Amino acid sequence: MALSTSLLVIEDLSLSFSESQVLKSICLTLDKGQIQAIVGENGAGKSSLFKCIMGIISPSSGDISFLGNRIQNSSIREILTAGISMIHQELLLIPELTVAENIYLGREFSEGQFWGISDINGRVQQLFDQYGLDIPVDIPVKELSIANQQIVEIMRAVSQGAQVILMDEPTSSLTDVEVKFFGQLIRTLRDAHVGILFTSHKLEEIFEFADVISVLRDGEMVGTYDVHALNARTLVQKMVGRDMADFYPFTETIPGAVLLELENVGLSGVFEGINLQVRAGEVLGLAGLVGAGRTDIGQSMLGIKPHTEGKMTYLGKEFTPKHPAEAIALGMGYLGEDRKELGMIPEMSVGENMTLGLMQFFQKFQWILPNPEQAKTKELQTKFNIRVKSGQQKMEQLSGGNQQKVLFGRMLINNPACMVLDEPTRGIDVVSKFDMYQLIQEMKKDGKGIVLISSDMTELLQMSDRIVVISKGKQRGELLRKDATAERVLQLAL
Amino acid sequence: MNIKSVFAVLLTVGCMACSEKKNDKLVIGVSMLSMQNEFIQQVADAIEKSGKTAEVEIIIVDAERSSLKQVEQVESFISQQVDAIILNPCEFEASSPAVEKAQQAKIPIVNVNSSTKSKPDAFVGSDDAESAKMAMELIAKHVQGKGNILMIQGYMGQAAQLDRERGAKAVLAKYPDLKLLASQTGEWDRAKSMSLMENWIQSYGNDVQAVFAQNDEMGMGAVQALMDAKIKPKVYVVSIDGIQDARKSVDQGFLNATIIQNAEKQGSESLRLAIALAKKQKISQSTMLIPFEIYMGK
Amino acid sequence: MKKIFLKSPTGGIFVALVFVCLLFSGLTSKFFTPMNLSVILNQVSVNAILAFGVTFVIISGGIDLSLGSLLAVCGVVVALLSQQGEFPLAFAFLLTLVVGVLMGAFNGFVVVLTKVPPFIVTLGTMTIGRGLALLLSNGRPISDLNESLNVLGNGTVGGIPIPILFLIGSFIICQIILTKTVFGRYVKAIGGNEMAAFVSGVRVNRIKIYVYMLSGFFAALAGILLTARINTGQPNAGLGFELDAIAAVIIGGTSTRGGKGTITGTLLGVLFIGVINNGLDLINVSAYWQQVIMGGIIILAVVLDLVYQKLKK
Repeated sequence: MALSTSLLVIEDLSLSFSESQVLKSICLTLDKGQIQAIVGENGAGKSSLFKCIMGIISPSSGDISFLGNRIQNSSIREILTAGISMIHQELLLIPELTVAENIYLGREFSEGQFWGISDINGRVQQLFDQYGLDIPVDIPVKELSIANQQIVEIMRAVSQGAQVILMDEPTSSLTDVEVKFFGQLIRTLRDAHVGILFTSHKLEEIFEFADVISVLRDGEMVGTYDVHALNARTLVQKMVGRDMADFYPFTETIPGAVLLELENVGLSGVFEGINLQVRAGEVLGLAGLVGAGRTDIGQSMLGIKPHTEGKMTYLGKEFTPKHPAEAIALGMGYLGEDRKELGMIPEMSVGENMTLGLMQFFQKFQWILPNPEQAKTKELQTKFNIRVKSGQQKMEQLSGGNQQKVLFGRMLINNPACMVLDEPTRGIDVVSKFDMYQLIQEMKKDGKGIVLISSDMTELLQMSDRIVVISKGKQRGELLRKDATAERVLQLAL
Repeated sequence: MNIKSVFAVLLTVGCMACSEKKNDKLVIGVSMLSMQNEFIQQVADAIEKSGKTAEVEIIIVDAERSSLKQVEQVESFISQQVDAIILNPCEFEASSPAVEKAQQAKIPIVNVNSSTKSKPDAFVGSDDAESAKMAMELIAKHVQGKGNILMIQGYMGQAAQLDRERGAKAVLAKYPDLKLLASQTGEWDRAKSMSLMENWIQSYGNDVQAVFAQNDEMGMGAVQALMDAKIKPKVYVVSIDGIQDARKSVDQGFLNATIIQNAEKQGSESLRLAIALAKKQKISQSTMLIPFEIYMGK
Repeated sequence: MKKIFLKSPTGGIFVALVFVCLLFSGLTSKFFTPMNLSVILNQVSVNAILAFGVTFVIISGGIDLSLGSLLAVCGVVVALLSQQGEFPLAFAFLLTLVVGVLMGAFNGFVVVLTKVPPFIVTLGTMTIGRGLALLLSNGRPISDLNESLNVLGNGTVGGIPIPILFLIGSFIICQIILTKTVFGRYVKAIGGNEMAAFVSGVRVNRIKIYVYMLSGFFAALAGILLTARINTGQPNAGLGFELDAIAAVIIGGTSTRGGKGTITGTLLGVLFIGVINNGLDLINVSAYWQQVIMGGIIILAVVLDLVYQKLKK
């Protein structure tokens, strides 16, 4: 590779904390106008690598050079001025300031003018025009969508003259349409000879955006590959170091009795006229755009948002849960859409999180019985292969995949007959995803009825026996597995 | 706070309504420092009682120790066009605007119990420094001019605390062998000064001959702590105000003496002057000091 | 030393407490005596009992500003009941505790049903409570109480002042409730993530009401103790006590955002404030300086805690 086209060269980079070695002899090259994906499981070392490049942590050994100059002992500020920027998962904008003010934040006086740079709105407008962006420059950032806020942050980097931009999970909170637009933006940046390093858990995006893919596993660089040299299966294989049989396992089963039936069920102002049946031993997919009411239907089944119209029947009896406790007591299980908001208690231990709301199984009067509780949580940790140091470890210290497994375990303590899984694989790493699919299959074989809500079309099509499509709070149709294609689902959903 | 002000507004609005109905009677607005203080309560009771006999209408509001609120209350009296105002000031400086505003509106204003920087049309009260002097003289007499003394102060920086401290120090200066071991605030509160006294017993123990508390509540707290430590008979305790509880304690032989501030007379005299001013009568003196009495039991 | 305090979950405040104790021991020989330590424990008992109760409220993500007023109402109630001498003392206590629990329940119901922030609701109850205390007592202290009430406040059992026994008892009970019961577990869960707790089937509203009732119960207990200690029912007792109690809880490491906190931490926080009050009286610092020093030491404690948190990482 010719030296002249290389922006960033990393050679033999190692990083260790007290005992553990986080990065081992990493070599990596980023060229001008190249989009490079860094992929790996959680804990593979992606974030540490980014932090080393940005000077947030200093590596134990090795070289990082930018345009031929060594930078690994420079401060964050020096690295930023040199032309490397990073877009963090949590955006670092000031909500009350306008778009233009945010873009020029910290540089208002950089041109030696006492009163600050005049006409920043005009300058930013010019920049936005150049990239074909349709975002008003003079409104407070808090009025923008998350996607547009992210664009503002990227444009801040661009206006600072960044030649290398690092992006940590840039698409994790974007909708499908926004992801498309994001793709266009980074391609425009590529055409302007900016080098981009990004991480993502979504295989489709990696293949769509990246020119080359670097795979990290346990702190080591497995290799850098041209995007055309890999496919989903070979990529996952490199990430985990073993062959993954079928990524989406599916077994044909003969559905059993109806467990849960909704007849004309509605929630005023949110959805109406929902008719569906969940049978034992099947996965019922709920499809629809974000905001179509899928999540609300799932929550009505649990009494989280009690339905106001129609009739629900569960195990042959009329079922009108007014509180999740009632539904859970009758044998319903729920895995919420957003585990940070609806699932976990970050400050509490893994064990306490597993038994949350289910202490009736581990108590005598009000007294907690620690032994049965610990035995149960240990059992589930082993069963689901949850990697924790101990049951005392705090929930917030776990990776997303492991957190999700803890919550899945919680759901199973009650041995529910029917369960609602809302976006069960969102934001978790590939291996945990695979584990989650295996679990769903096992539950299905066990004769459980499963409602699967997902925005990931492939996942929904591959895992479901039937798919009910919801649009604007109304039921648009039902497709059997053999008839379901992405096009047909989308047709109904729009 | 908000809720309190809402109540206050409702109260004054309610009173406005009733004062408009019977405008044949004189209306006197009264703003008191704090109705949670027993002595102030007694002054207010006296004003109300004399109001009944004199057949004038009395509107009493509680400033809850906030001079800001007190100024607002006086403003609403002015807008109700009361005939005279009686002010029991929260603070020397900060309650002063209330007096100025009333005078601008040409409504006569009488200060009761404590003073403000701006001079009102009349003042009825007692000289706080004088009461402390009397208390300290009692102590000096009891220990025959020689001994160790502790002083429990009120809220630091309030007029009553400053004056009582000044009076006590003046007497101390007269007796070189009277030694002030320590002085701390008990915030006018019984429980707080009880704790303070307990701590003092730890550090001064048997070296103390007398305690001067700037009000009765604090004096009672000190007595309680001394009794629990079983050293009360050796320590002479005097406080100021003469509230019922304290007088009872003196009768029982616990508290040694209390200096009675004549609440009843302060109340009735302030109302008498307010009525006279409202009727545009001439008053003989604009400052009326009600003398203290020493109470040492039946 | 470093290792010991790194192990304890309340390390920062523990170090701060040791620090102020050493400081005062150096400044005066009167501080570190068994007698004085007993005086401190005796004095902090009321604040400690209030603080234990409100620890649950704060862990659950709420706040209770009505503590001081509840204490005053209950103090007046117990004084009225034991004044007439007609009722046995046990009955007076029981009824007072019921009053405290009911007023706490009122806080809880309003918070849960109206969704008005607890800060506002309890600010309202604070005013209502103060008014009730004045109404019940006609604004005057209630004295001439049953002699045995005074024993409760100022007597000893086996050489230990009775308020200290109440302090220890309340500590043990609260410690058990918070760490060993399902209720305690769920209180932490609600404070940590209310929505997640609800979705998991925790009866969030019910638990919140219990939390305020618990706080009311301990406010009543503190009211009884204070009345017994000063031997009168004071309608204006407990002014600002809620702030002392809440400060102790926060200094003791309970998060204001909820979800995290310990009873041991609260006890250390209470002792910290108590030791400073006592020590400053012993060394006779001028009353103006007391406030300056008090504030300085509290900031120092918070800084020590930050240092501790850093060391821990």
